[in-house]
Amino acid sequence: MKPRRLGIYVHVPFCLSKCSYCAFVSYPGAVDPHRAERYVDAALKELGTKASMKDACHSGWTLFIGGGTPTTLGSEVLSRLVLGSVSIMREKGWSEPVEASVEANPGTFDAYGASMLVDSGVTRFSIGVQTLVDPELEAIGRIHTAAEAKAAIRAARSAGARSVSMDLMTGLPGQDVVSLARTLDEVSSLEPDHVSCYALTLEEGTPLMKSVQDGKVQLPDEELCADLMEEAQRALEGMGLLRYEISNYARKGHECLHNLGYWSDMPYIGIGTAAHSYDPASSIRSWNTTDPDRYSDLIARGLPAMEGNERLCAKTAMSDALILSLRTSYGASLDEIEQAYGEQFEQDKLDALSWGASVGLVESIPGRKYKLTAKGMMLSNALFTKLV
Amino acid sequence: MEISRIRNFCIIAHIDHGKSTLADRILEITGAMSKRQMTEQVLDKMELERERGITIKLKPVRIECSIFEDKGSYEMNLIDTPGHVDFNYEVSRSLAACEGALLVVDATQGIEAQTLANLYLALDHDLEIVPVVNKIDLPNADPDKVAKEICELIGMDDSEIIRISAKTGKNVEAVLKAIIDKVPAPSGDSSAPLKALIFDSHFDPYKGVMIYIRVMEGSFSTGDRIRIMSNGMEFDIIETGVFTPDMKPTGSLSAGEVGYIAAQIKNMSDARVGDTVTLAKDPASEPLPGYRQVHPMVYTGLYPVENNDYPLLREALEKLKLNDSALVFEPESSAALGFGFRCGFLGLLHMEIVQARLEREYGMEIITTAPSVIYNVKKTDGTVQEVDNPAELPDVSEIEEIEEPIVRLSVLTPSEYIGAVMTLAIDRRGTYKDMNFLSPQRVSMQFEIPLAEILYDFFDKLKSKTRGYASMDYELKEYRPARLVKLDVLVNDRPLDALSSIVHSESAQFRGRLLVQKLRKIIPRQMFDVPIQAAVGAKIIARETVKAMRKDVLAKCYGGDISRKRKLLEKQKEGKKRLKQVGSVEIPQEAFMAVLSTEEEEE
Repeated sequence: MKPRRLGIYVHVPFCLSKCSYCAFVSYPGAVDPHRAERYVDAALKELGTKASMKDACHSGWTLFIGGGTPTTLGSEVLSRLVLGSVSIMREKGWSEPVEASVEANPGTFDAYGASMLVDSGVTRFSIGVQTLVDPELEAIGRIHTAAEAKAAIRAARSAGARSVSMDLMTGLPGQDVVSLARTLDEVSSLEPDHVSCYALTLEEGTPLMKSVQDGKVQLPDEELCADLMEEAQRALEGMGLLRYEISNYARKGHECLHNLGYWSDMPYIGIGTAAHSYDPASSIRSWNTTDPDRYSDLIARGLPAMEGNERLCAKTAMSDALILSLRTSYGASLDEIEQAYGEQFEQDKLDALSWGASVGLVESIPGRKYKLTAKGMMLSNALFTKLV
Repeated sequence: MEISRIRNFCIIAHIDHGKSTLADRILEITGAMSKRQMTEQVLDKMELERERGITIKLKPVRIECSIFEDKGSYEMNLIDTPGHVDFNYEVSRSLAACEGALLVVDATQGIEAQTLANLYLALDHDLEIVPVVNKIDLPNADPDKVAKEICELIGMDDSEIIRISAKTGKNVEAVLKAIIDKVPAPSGDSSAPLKALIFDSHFDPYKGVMIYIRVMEGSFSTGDRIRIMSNGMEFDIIETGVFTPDMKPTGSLSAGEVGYIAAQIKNMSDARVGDTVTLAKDPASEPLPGYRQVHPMVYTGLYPVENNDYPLLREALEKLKLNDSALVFEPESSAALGFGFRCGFLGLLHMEIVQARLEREYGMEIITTAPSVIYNVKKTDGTVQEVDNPAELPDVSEIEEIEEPIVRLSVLTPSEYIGAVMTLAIDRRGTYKDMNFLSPQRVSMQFEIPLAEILYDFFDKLKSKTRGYASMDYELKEYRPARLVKLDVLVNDRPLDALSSIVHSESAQFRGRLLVQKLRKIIPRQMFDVPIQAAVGAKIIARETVKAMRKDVLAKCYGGDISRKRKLLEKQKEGKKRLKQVGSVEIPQEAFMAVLSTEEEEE
């Protein structure tokens, strides 16, 4: 088996306030400094337990601190988390991470914090911009303005981070082709290295879902949503960003290595609340408790914070690997996945891929490889529902 | 038991008027079942029956009644009857096996059309009627008014009407007393040659066909050789007994009694319901008068969602048929849906029940095409063809005339809704015939109307236009010529035979437009534009387009999302299972039923 890159994901479950569309595990409100310290202590302790010694099965590693909003911890505490993680890994024989990403919210991020984090080893910032139209930001409950978002990008840039990424969203309440074009024009002038562009998904139990159900908020209709996605794609590619995954665009060399790991069946260790771990070698997936105080308690008492796990059968693991790799522009190699699991794909999967090729969702490449077409990137579920 | 101490009776009631509850209470009071043994509604055995609160298939039960010290012990055989119009034929079977009938009417609702029809059936059979007004415990009950209605209807005195609450048990003993006092004992001679009427049967995988019989004359025992009078086939009795309501062997039965026979009969068709059983060694000379043969009124196509499941569907239908002699089916194929079966049903409820049983008991995923009646098509070459599938209607050039079934429809409604009912029936090509007032507030209206027009949502519409108060009943009157045409549907430029329907030529334009509008909403977006057209012959009369789906994608998918996203995809896949792949278009079940919609939906 080829050496695999290890991904380390640390979840920070705190946010100043929760955005109306968000269904992720996060606890809104100002973070008590003591609670923040305790959480970081626990995370580092968990990493020390979960990370193994560097061996020949693994090549390098990536670090990704996500949330929630990692920057609510404050720059000092967050820097300690980065430094501490690198030093733990170093003790276990690993060299510097090939990429260290931190997610930032423009409302809790400034030049001072950016520099401190870069000095601690952060190479990449992913900044939650969503849109650069203030009423749209307000409509989804973001705590920052467009001006603050632009300032955050500049701060990240001037701190000397290797890559600066921003998250954008399409399909927001009140968004139309004109307002999206305005956002994209401004994005262009900010020259990000990377953009993640997500179509808004209404999640169960979110305040936005309720507002929509109650008729207080209207979302763009299906046609407009598709127009917005296509407009975003056109503009981002026009800026020289390549669509390397359904929702991700990057200048060459600035693709997110950590996230690529998820889509190419690499192992990852999840640290912190609700974080997921997966090891393709054993096909075991596990996840932690969602409660931060319970999490800190368990770890402090030397107990695992795992809440559940599942062992995937080869069939499921292979179908996950196939679907995930198809999300990327590199596509899926059936041979590689079959070799990794020592089993052949079932006929129904092969039939589904042939069907996908016949209706223009995937392109078949010599050597038993497939990749999504532009149409397939918009309609991937039509194929994926046949591959699960 | 002496024949003079036997009472055979059935219960006539409308759905929800408390028939099953009363039966349960009788079992409880006579000690046939202790309270602890009782699950609610003992005689409704099928899960489906429990769920819907209706009785479809009758279950006989024998009750020993010795609660009246001054009267001694009596043997009562209760034959439960279904209360839905689709199952009318089962009612007449029950009636033929009894000497009396309890007429149960809800004190809050009054008499309903179905009950009235069954009451007349019972009177035709010379049954003694014991009228019962139920649910007197309810706050909105008006027992006196309902009693008056009954009195006027069957010319009884108010003192004869028993007012009860089957739910609380109040006055139920009076019902038992009336059965003993009023219902005559059976009159058969147990030493005469055997004549036993088959009134039902079910299939037992170990004992073969179990026939349910009422012994009219003579007697028999286990080991006797019986003969089925219509076909002369002979079988040895391996078990005989009574219903308690579970089957309990007794070794013999004689005139007046109700019970069952197991004789290793392999096919239901060898011992049909309505036939007469006699003894091989001393046969009766004449059989009992039989029942009319049951004819399906409604036909639909049943197709497996997965074409490969065709043999499984056949097997499931064969098994269902063992316990449902009214179900008929034969193989058919559709260019759009592949191989399936044309099935005949007594009515729409019967169809729904078969469909639900196939899905639940046999795990089948099926597509049902729109129900159709049988048309008589007179062809130009002088022949007549029966058409129960619109797709098989001959070409217009070969048709001389089409005849459709007309039913006599009777509607019972509060008089304030006369206008609404009239409008509804006339809109459906009905002709008003007659009207009788049962009381100043309640009226019975008669129409003649094409069966095809009342097949689908007529009853729902009737209910909604009369705030739920009207009830209806119908029976076939005759076939009449009508100006009918075939309305075809093209999906993605291909004719979809299973969506064809036969409509009146004057409404073709309207129905066609309505249908394609409905289909546009029902057929999910595909990856390309799908045109939907309605056509009469070569002429396109309406057109809509299902616009292509432009996005169907999960935005975020990182480490923590993978399991959840997988579940979402699996859920989406599960949803697609209910879709039938027709050519390159996926079509949901509702599409096939849309053919019958007659009204624009309220948006």
